[in-house]
Amino acid sequence: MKANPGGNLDPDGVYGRDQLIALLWERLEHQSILMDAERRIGKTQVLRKMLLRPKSGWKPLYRNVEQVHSAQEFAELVYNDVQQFLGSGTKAKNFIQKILEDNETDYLNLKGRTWKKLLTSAIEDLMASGRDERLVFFWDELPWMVQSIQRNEGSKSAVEILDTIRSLRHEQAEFRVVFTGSIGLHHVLGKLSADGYPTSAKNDMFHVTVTPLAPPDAERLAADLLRGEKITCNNLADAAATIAEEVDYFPFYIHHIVAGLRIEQSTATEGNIKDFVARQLVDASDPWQLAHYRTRLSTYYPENDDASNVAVILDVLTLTDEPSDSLSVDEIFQQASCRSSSVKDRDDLLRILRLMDSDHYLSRDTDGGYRFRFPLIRRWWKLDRGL
Amino acid sequence: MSDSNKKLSASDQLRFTDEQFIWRFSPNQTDPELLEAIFVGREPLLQNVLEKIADSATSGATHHVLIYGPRGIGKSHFTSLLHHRLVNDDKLSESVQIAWLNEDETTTSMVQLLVRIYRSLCKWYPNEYSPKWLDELLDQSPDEIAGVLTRRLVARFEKRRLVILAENLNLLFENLGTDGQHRLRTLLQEHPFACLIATSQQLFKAVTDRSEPFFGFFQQIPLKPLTMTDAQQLLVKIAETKGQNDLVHFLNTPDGRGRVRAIHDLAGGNHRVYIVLSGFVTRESLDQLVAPFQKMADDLTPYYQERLRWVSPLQRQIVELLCSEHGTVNPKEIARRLLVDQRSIGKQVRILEDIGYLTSTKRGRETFYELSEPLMRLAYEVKEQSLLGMLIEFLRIWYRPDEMQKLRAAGLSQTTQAYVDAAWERSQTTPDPRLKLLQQELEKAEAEGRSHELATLWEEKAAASNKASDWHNAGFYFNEVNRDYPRALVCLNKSLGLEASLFLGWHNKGKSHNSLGQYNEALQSYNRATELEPASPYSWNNQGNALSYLGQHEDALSCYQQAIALGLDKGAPWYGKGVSLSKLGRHEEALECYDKVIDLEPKAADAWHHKGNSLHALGRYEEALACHDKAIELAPESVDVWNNKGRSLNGLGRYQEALTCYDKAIELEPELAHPRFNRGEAFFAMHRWDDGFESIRGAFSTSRSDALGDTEAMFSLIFRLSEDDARLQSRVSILVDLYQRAAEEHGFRRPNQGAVRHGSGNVNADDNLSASDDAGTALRLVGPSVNPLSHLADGLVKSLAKIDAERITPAVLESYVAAVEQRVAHMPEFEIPLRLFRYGIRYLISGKESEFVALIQPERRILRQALRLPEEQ
Repeated sequence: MKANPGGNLDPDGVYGRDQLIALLWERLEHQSILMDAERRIGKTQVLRKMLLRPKSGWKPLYRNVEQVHSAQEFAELVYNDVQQFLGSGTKAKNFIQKILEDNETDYLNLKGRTWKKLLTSAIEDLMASGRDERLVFFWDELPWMVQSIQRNEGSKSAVEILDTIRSLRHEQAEFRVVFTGSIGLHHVLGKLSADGYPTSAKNDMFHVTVTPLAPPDAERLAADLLRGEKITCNNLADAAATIAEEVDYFPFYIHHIVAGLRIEQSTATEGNIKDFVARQLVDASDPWQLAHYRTRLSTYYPENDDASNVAVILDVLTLTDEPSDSLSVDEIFQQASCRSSSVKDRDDLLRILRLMDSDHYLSRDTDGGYRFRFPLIRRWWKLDRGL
Repeated sequence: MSDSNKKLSASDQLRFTDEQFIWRFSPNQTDPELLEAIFVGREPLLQNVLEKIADSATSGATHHVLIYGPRGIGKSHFTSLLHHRLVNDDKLSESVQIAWLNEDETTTSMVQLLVRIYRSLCKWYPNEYSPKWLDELLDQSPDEIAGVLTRRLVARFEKRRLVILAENLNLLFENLGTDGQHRLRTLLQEHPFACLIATSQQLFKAVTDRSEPFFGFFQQIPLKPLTMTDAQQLLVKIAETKGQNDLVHFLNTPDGRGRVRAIHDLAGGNHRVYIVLSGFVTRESLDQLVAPFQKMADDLTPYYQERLRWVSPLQRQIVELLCSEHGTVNPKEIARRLLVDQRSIGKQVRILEDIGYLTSTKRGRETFYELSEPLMRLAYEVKEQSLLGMLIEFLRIWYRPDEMQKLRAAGLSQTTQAYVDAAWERSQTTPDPRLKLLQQELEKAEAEGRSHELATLWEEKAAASNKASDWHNAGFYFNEVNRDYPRALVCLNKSLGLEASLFLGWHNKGKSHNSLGQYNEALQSYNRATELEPASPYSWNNQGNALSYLGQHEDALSCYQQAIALGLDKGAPWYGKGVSLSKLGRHEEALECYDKVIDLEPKAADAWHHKGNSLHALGRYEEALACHDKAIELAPESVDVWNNKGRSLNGLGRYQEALTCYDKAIELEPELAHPRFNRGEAFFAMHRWDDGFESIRGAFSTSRSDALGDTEAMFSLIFRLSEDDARLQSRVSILVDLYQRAAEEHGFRRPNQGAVRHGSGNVNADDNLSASDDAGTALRLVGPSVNPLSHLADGLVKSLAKIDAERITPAVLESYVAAVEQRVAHMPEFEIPLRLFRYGIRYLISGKESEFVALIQPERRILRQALRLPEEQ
């Protein structure tokens, strides 16, 4: 197997996800799914494996909806997909025809007014088609689409899209979707709510967070990539373990390291691997694009001084001796206050901490303390901030 | 690789003119054979990308690669060769098709891009893709065209992969706009039928910004500037393609490398600049060089001046400032020189970097900038209406000041004379650029611990400076670090040729000769060194070593003594003295020396080892064993120590343990013969005769069968432990068979020469070995220096010393003679030794020296020695 950071992987090259995929198929029998993950975890590769190796009786249909900017565009996209799935397209076509007749109007006028009907009826027709195979929609980057519609058509339209899809899930017991996105849907919903359009668009969905690989899977991936790239190792297992551990078992970065070792024609020794990772973290051109963890703060946390407070909290959490050590809420509050944060009080801090947890910056231990979720990001943050 | 190799060999017949290189060098228009012939430094990367494409073709994966680097760095060369290799790859031709997008065509929408891809396919695969069909399709609306083309491409590439080669991706994406990029990304994600292999001058927002569709999509690979080694290879390859064998040879000399290094500095690793300058390195006459160089400058200047016009006035000023500088400048200095606010400069240099005019490097917290394209200096220099600074620098690189001075008087044209004068004048005020660069590189290499490069760097410097000290330093590093002794000698000889009284030169020359086993020459050099510097204990010590190697141990002892007397307070002279004393059989005295070494250097494994060997020789096996154990503790990987520990254990009758040691030695160095012989001996002592003979057979089949075993001990064990005459005879026969075969294998005798082969248990096995033996011999690296049979015969005589005549009956003693005679009677190697053995046995039976009467005097001396009898009066 060849290292392929960023590209599409062969389904056999997607390691350590079979249990998750089995769970997702099992859940789809009962409900739709909201899947989120920190970037570079490999959620698109999970979807791709499901797409190429679907469970018997299912027909997944993948769409990256990032470039959809209006409700109408979205409804037409779904309509076209349904039409294509139904083959002859009889029912859907009949529906369009019926609308045109009922409204005594032409298609262009229809487009402007009836996206909701188009979407609803497309799904209704799909459900009524009686096909043996069940269609499940994989809508990747859905939060981006909703955000874009909100920008172009306003919050009302964006909420309507989400609510219409939720209604369809309720009304059509067999209708299934998988929402995914590299930004959390909760950000978009929070913004809509702040605009006066609260919605419970995701409450009925099964929420799953994709985690990094289990260490044995990550090590197996690293070992197979080292073999595939014919990289010299004194001890393959040790080299694979070092690679996996250095990048917190993120498959994307594992691919990156092996690809990098190949380009540099390095031997996969512990020293070379650690040196390579260290260089990526401080490289001015940011080859692993980690600066995103900093630059996105103002987008993720637009309220008041939240973005700068989040930065202070992250600074504080780099103070622990070990990445696995956590700080209690009181400790964070005290330390953040010393660093002139504008966190108002303990409750305000708890609010921000919960948001950071949802965005995968932090995780919480059983004692209620917080720490960086990923040691790699902690390490980068420390370097980036010169701490 | 095989394909490319074929191309390379085909290129041997290619001959290219300078003009093809300089004026017409545009990689995608250039013959791929030429591109192959001058491809350097990027082969591993090309293989990497080819493997990614092959992986995409044979699995469900798709790889996308973005190769980036400034103009002229070799991106187009790389892409052109990638295309060439792909279309000629028989394995991939079924599973991959390529759309190579013309880099100059502008594309402003996704549908246009699809049409370009399809057009490219029509060009390269006319049987499968119809331009007519495409032309008819163009009558439809853009959306319909996009839909039809998408469906067609998806269908055509359902079972194979499309490789899209796109140069200047930054421009393509800029023209496509965000919407077009989104559409392309969606197409590639939803229908992963294509690999996008692209190039750009730098990373750009569309691939680095999280909000952009192609963020995180590509594996981004920087195309690094050519290294000095690559540059040299490139110039050599260009010379090869032009059939300039003299130049190829010259470029591989230290002087040639020095010039390449200086060109490397001018070119800054820029691929295109080497190719341009390569046209000039071969000009024989200066007039032939200057005019074409000026022509090149005139031809290239409009292009670079045009590029200067594209940028804002402040940006142009920055570029012009950098044109006038040779090297990097930081924004603070630029601001100072241009009288502009530093913040404005900071912003402008970043923009210039983004658009490919400048390259930055960080030193600590500061960023320094230089021109991405060194040739841009030409545009500035031509405008200045003065002599071209780049050409002046080039002349200074190419000619040493003394050569330039000769040229000045050679009658040149007016322009050329002006250039040479300018170069000469500059050489009077500024240091030789080559020497300056080499000194910098030497300091850098030393600081970075690249000690293996120091020798060649000093060699280059010496070629440029022709100083004895530089040649000496080169020789020193070749000797001490690179262990390239012949090359060290060349340098040291040059150094001594320039300055014969250089004591260190003679000393190091001695070391090089010594390392090459040229002990007589080493001795002469050390003699000279001690003459020049009689107080140098090291030279005395090394002289002792040379004498010791030459077997002149008594003389060696006095040299070591001199080194000790001069205060060499180290183990070396004591150790050397110990070894010489051991060789002289003065083991008790040797022990004192080894103890002295151990006092001075308690961790000197060799001293412990040799002390053990001397104790062994004195029969003090327990003490020997303790010393060998200590030596193993200090040097656990030493084969000889393990082997000798085995011998000590053998001496103590602890054969099984001895075997473990021999096995360890064999494990450490499987091709070494002597542990296998010793192993055989231990097996004999354990009555495991077959295993013993097998070990000896194994010893002869190693590739380093320079040792021949302790044949004295072998005979002794066979005589002593054989249960009856028949077994005795059989074992003697097998032993002789083994040595005879070795003698034949190593060419010391012809098969069956001088004797009829006698039957033994192993005869058949021997006879069957002829074919494989030939192969084994051919692979052998080191063979015995003496005839194995002579060595065996010698052991026979020496074995007399180990016969305990008082406890053995005369009949048994006579059976020894009979057993040997029946096997070796007609063998010339045994003629004398057998007679001596016979007389020796007679003496052991009778105890009378009168038995020796029939022997001549030298024979008597040998026999007396073997029997440990005092010398004849």
